[in-house]
Amino acid sequence: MALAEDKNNILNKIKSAVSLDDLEKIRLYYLGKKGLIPEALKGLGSLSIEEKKSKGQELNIIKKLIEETIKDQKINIENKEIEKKLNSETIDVTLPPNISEQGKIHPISQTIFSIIEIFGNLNYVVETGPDIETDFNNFTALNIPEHHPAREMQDTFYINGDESNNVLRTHTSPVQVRTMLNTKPPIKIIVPGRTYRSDSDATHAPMFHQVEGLVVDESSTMVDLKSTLVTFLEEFFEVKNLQYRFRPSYFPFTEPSAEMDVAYTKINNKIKIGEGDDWLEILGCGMVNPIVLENCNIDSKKYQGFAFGMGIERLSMLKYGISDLRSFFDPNYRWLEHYGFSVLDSQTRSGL
Amino acid sequence: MKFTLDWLKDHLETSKDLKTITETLTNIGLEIESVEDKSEDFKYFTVAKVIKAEKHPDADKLKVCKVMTINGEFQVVCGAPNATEGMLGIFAPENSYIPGTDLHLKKTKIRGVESCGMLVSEREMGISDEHDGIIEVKGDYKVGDQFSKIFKLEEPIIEINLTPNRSDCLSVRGIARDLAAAGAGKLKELKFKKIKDTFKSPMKWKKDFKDKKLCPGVAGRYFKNVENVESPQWLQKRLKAIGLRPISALVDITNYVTFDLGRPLHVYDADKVSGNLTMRLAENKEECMALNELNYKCDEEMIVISDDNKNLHGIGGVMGGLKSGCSMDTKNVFLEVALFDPISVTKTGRKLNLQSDARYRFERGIDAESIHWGVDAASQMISELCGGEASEYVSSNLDTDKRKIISFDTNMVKTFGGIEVEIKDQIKILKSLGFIVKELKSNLEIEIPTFRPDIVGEADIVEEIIRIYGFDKIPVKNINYEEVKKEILNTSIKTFHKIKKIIASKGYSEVVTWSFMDENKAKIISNETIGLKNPISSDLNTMRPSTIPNLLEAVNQNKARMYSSAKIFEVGPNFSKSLSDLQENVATSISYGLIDESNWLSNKKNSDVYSIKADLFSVLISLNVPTENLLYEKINGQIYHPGKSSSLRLGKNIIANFGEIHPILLKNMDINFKVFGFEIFIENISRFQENKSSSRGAFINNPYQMVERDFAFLFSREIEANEIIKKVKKVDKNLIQKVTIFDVYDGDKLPDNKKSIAFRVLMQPQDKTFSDQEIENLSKQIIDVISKSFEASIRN
Repeated sequence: MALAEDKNNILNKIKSAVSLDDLEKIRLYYLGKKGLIPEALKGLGSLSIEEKKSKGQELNIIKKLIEETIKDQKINIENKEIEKKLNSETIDVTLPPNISEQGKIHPISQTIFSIIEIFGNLNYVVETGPDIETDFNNFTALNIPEHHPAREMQDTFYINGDESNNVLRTHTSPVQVRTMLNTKPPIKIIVPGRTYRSDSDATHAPMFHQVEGLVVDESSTMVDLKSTLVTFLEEFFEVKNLQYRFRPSYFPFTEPSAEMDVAYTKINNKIKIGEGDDWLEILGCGMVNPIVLENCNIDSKKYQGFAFGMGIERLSMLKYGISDLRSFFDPNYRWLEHYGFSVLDSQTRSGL
Repeated sequence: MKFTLDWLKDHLETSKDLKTITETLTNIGLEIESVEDKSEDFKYFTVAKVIKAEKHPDADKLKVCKVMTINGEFQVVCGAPNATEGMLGIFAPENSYIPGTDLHLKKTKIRGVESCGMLVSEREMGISDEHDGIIEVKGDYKVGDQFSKIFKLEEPIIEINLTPNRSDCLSVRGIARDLAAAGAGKLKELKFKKIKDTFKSPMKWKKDFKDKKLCPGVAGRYFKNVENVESPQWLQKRLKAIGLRPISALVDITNYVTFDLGRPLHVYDADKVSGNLTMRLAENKEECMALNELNYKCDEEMIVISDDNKNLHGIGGVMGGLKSGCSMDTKNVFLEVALFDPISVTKTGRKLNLQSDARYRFERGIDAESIHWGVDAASQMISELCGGEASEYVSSNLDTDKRKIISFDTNMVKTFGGIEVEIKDQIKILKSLGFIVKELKSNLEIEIPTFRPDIVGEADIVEEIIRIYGFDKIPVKNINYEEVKKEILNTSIKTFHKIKKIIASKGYSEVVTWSFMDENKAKIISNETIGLKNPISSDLNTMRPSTIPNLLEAVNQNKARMYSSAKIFEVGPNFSKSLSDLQENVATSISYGLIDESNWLSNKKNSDVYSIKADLFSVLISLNVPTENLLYEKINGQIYHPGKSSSLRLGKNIIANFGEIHPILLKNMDINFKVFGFEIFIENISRFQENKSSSRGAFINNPYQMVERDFAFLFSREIEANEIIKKVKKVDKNLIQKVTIFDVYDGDKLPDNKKSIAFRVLMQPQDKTFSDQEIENLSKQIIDVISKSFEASIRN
């Protein structure tokens, strides 16, 4: 027995169903236990085998077609219903979210990270030492004998009730002494850290940071010293062909001694490092005084080397445009917010 | 060290301009501090001729003048009575800056008549107080001549920032010598006129020391019938230029020679001295009234100058005495040219807190041979300026050292300095600096002049040669990286820096505060404090025993800036007598107020002990600290609330402290809200930062179904959660994967001293799926263990 209704007609009926209820009614009408298709299949019993086969096939094809069309239409109707619901579900996406904020890294630390990165790539190892130092490590070993006028260059904090004359180190150089006394050359270190001088005004703080460098081997000369510092400064300030002055100076612990100035230009109150007609003093350096080597039990006939030192706040001020030295030590949250660095703001070459 | 260009040219024959000279100075290590060039300030002021002067139509006392200047004719309204036709005056053009009145000149109308520029008075130019009329230029000058030239204001004043080793350049002579060596001119020969000695000195120089080094010698001369006058203009002008006040010829001569030749001198009014003068050590509490009219109590280490009646006439190397100071009436003087031990002068000056130009030079070292030429230099000036007659040269015994000899290997310029300088050039440089050089086969034998006490070894000679040759000629090369790479940071330095990034990532901002604090506050939290002998101020007089008070101070400072909540931290040293090295590095963080920024979404929860503990643990986990093994230990002290804090220990090392800050400490710091904090001890966690291999074990994906079971017990209040968790885990370390406390209740509905703790146990079978019986058994074991261990009762 054949289906009276046209196949296309049935399919159109299904496709025009708008609710799941309607669709279910259609399904029951055709495919339900008493539906047209099962009924028609039952009616095949009276036919010949040949006819049974061909009609049966025909009916089964239609059945499958109806099933698939209903399935598709069901998805269609469901999607339409979701879409209808979505229209009534809008929210104000412009409302501010609750961001979990990260803290900021102080510019002094950021500067130290960047110095370590540059010298680390030049194969220097980082060393540190205590803030409370012996008079010997801070002065005597560095060729600053008692009553030497150079001691007047730095007014020193002395520790109370202490017979050994301990001081708050006035520079990071005592770590040079410690390292030379404890290790054999070759030595290639940098030493960042806190330092102290009894000086407090707009441009001096009683506590500040320095980084010291020391190389001791059998062959380093002033050429290596100058080249190292030019390389460092160009990397640190991110300038090529840095204009600089390398001029003679004096420190008791180096001989010959030099200071380095970098050229700068002031544009709209902002300092641009690297070129210009004015000079900024940036560091002191020199060949390690043979007297210092001998004081540290290193044979100055066999070994020589160079040392340099610079102020971390000064480097930081110049690189990041911070104008007030005292502000580094004033824990003003707004200042930290402004000058602080994101944890992910890394100083590596790749920027990762 | 200050000097004028013309003064320099007394010693240096040069055609170099100011710019070349100053650049050369910096290049050879005599760094320019400032150059004051008045001719620049005055360059717009030139001679002008008044070609017409008529009465102002509306003012009796004013004149309208036509003025011829180098730049053409201008009309100027002028009130000066001496403005007359045909005179030469000084014209200040429009827009120029008038130094005496601190004004920028603008074109104006004076009583309706236009005035462009002005004719100036001496007061307006800032050169005197004269304001009765305008400057009238007399003599052979023409329109356009520079005002500064006519009034000799053109001499630039140069100041150099001298390093303490270069005592020889505390004199104009020494600076000229260095410049000549660097090719900036020729050093003029220094010649002193021979003074006729017409009589035997009635006074002698004596010295009386056990340690001869203290005063190697003193020399001088007696001058009779001198006339102390006002110094000549050229001398006054030079002294004024470098900031010294001219007093009288005799005094000015001593100052002048100090700066010109680096040779401090003293002249005594001989009529006020009894007998001879002796250099000796003072007796204890012996007093000397110095030239600055202050009375100084000396001690037995100080050199003084005494007469035969034991009157003191000066403090050796520091300052002369008032008693025998020269006045305009002085007729007879006795000269002192002395040598002192630099250390002795330094100590004396420091103890008396007395600074002087003489002390400054003696401390740094004086040319020992100046004991001869210094007398000649002074004698010549005294004779020239004050007349009179000079005695013979008198001196004490001399105990001066011979000149030093250094044997120098010329290769060192290359091996130490890194540059090639030909031997003949090395010799030339050394000779031009005053060294006497003998060329031997393989090295140089160098005699060091006595005015260079700073030269002690071969490294100094290298510096002298390269300094003059030019530091700028040292080449720059590529730095090579051939060596074996080493670990850049050891674990403790790595921890010190890395922890900053980790703590900041938890929302804390880094501050850097002083290593010192107020002793009164430090004493509250520690009795092992380290004080400073010479603190910068009384609130910074002790090394901080903890960073927490400094962070609390920061909280206070930010109160006014509308911050009612914050998270801050510092990584740095804390100090205590009980620590090795007297210090330890600690990462210290505090948190207070709302955890989240107030926002429509935020849960408005304040920081508390558990929020700070969460941050602490999160930091520790990031630093590979095995937090599950930490032992809790009560903190004693005044930093934390005793019931709301704990130390965390691993073995015998304290890893961290955390908790609520002690209310009394907060009260002392003037903070009236709760603050929470933690401290991590860097050294004790650094061993967890060792670089481990980054390869991991194979991943085993356990396929068996996990099971969760919840339990709730009633415990005594003092039972600690950590102990419960540990006990549960111990029941079966293999199967029990995780124990989570999901509820804690100790409200009214429970009996006194009881609390309810509910926890969830995650069980993970290892080799087959759990049977119901196995789950039941494990649960039963947990219940048994907890009930027995803590006398707890299970709740349903």
